[in-house]
Order: sequence, then structure tokens, then C-alpha cells
Amino acid sequence: MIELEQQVRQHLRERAEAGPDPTELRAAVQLRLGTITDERPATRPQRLWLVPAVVVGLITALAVGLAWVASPVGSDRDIALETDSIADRVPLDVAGAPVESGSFALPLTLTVPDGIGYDVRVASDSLRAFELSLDSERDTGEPGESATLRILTSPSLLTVGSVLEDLEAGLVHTRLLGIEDDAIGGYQSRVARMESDLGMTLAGFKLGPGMFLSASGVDRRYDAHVITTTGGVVVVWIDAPFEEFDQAATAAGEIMSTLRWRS
Amino acid sequence: MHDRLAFVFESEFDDMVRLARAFLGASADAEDVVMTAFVRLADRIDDLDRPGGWLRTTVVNECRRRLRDHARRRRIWADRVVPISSGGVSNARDEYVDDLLVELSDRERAAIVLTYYLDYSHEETAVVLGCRRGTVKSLVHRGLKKMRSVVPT
Repeated sequence: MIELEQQVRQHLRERAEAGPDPTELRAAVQLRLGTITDERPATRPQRLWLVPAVVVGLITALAVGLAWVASPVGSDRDIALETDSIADRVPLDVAGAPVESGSFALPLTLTVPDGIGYDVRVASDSLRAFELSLDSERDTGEPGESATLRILTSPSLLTVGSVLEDLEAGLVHTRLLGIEDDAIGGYQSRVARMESDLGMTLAGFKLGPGMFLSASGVDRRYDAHVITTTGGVVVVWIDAPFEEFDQAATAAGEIMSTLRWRS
Repeated sequence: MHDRLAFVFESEFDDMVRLARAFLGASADAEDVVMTAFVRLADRIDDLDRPGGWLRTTVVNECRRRLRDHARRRRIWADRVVPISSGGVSNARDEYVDDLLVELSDRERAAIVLTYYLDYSHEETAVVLGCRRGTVKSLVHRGLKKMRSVVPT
């Protein structure tokens, strides 16, 4: 009787201690936590002061918002970049219809061509990122199993070299396959090709000061094309499962070839 | 990183990795659980009196959630997928105990892990699992009985 309990105890303890040194995981969690806490104040207001604090906060937010809108695109706004998924994804039912970003820092229009093998939806449209979800027929609906095309920017950016340098320096759970000259949708780029074959992972990618992108999924390939536009450096991020990556990259290229920057 | 969060991270990170591995083995799933728990903690640390306890409960619940699906449980416990492990446990005794643990419900397994790995009392285990002390006693008893019933004679 007792022997089984001892075996279970010993087994669980050995199981807990087994495995590689979690240094990489520690670094990844620290990076992620650093990004989260950089986005907000270190302490929250005491409840007693909540009401006046909210009023002051609203006034401040209004002032900051106005200053933001009035400021030029090239100003130094150092904000963490995280693509917040919008609650209701917008299906692009009609292939060939132009899609405009309403809030991306560099206003853009693109058109989803017919026959790319995906149902395309706008998954996020924020100041920093415009994200399309490329849903293939065999997607199970599990998070992280579909392919995505993300277009990312920061007005404070930076150079192609610095983006790639930060990306490479911060890689965890992801292998860099190489960095080379390439093109996507007619834009000359430097591309960082990466993969993660660790099974289900949640990985963070640093692209510059305060710029962070997260991705999760099973056995992923990533291509980060860094291109220079008149509005600054833009990262075109393609993210898909291994077996689907080539198809996703081709579709991303076709979509990117329709991209127009609006003035 | 905010001071309190940094303190909790430094004091709890290694324990949370071990706890997740006790449930899930040295797998990418275990790493993901640890990442998820700390990210959630960062969002509410100012509201918590005992962030360490909250973190432990979150890790346990997240591990349970991942083990709940039978197919996934089979994959993690029975096949012992350890894609990032350089030192996975795989001797005969461990395989034997794994084969016994796979027979348990997720609540029974959680009660046994908390009792035999963390040496939690039934009261402490009850707090983490959100049930009564008597239920914990019953889960542990039932789990061990189930394991004994499949021990080859």
C-alpha cells in the first residue's frame, strides 16, 4: 500500500525536476512581463482617490489623444506593439473588394485577390498593426492553427538593420533560419526566416524599443519581411504552420502586391 | 518590470516550472502554462493579497484544463511527449506510474499531485481545487484505489 504512494511521490518529484534548464523560458517570460508593465503605470490608484483619478485620467487621455492625432507620423512614439484582436472579426466576403485600414499609422488599402485558397478576415486594425487571418478549409478553429499576415509599423522606426538586430537578439523558442534579401508584393525586403518545432509554443518577438509581437501555435514558420516605405520601416509578418507555410507565403505575396499607401 | 511583479517572478518562477512539469512533463505545454500564468498575474497583481498562492492555483488549473481532454491527456501522460527535454524521465518505474496516473480523472490526478508532490494538506489542496476537505480526501483515496486496481498482479 505504502509503496505505491512512495512511488507516486518519487515519480512526481523526478518528473518535476526533469527537463532542460528553463533559462530560455525565464527570459521569454521576463521579456513578456516587461512589455506588459511598460504599457501601464506601476501602481494603481487607491480606491479613495479613484473618482478624481478617473476624471484627471480622462482629461489627460483626451489631451494626449489630441496631441497624438496632431503629431506627425515620424514622431517618436514608443509604444508596445501588440496586435489586439478585435472582438468580431470582419469577414471579407467579396474577394476583389478593397479593404482599408481605419487606424493603421500608415493608411493603406489592399484587395484580397480571388483564388488564393483562403478565406481572409481582418483580425486586427490598430495604429501599430493591421492583421489578416488567412483561414484555410482545414482549420479546426483551434487558436494558433491558422495562418496570419500582419503588417506592422512604428512611427519612431528605426532602420531595417535595427529591427532585424533586435529580432535576432530576442529570439526564444524560435530558430533563425537565415536573413537575406528578398521581395514581397513588389517591395524589396530583408527577410528573417524563422521556425519553431517545439510543438505548442507561445513566443514573443521584439522588433524595436517597446515593440513586441506575440505568436502562438503548433510547429510554426515565420517570415519577417522588413521593408522601407516613405512613411518609415514596415514589417510584413507571415505566420503559418509548417505544412501550410508556402501556400500562406504565396497568398501573402499576392495580397501585398495589391497594397496601396493612401496619402 | 514593476517591483512587486519582479519579486514574485523571482521567488516563484522555478517552483512554477517544477509544478507545471509535475503535471505535464518537460513539455512545451508546461512552458506555455508558466508563461500564461505569469501574464495573467501581471494583469491583476495589484489586486492580490497572496500573488504566490494565486499563481499556484492558476498553474494547477491551467494544467488540469490541458489534461482534461482525453486525447491530449493520453498524449502527454502515456506517450510522454517531451520535445524540449534533454533529460526526460523514462525508466520502467516512471512509465509504470505514468500508466497508472493516466487512468485518473483530472481532479483525482490534481489532488494526488498536490498531495504527493507539493505535500499539501487536504485543507490546502481543497483551497486550490475549490472544493471541501472531505472531497479532497475522497479524490485522493479514490485515485489511489483506482491506481491499485490496475496494478498488474
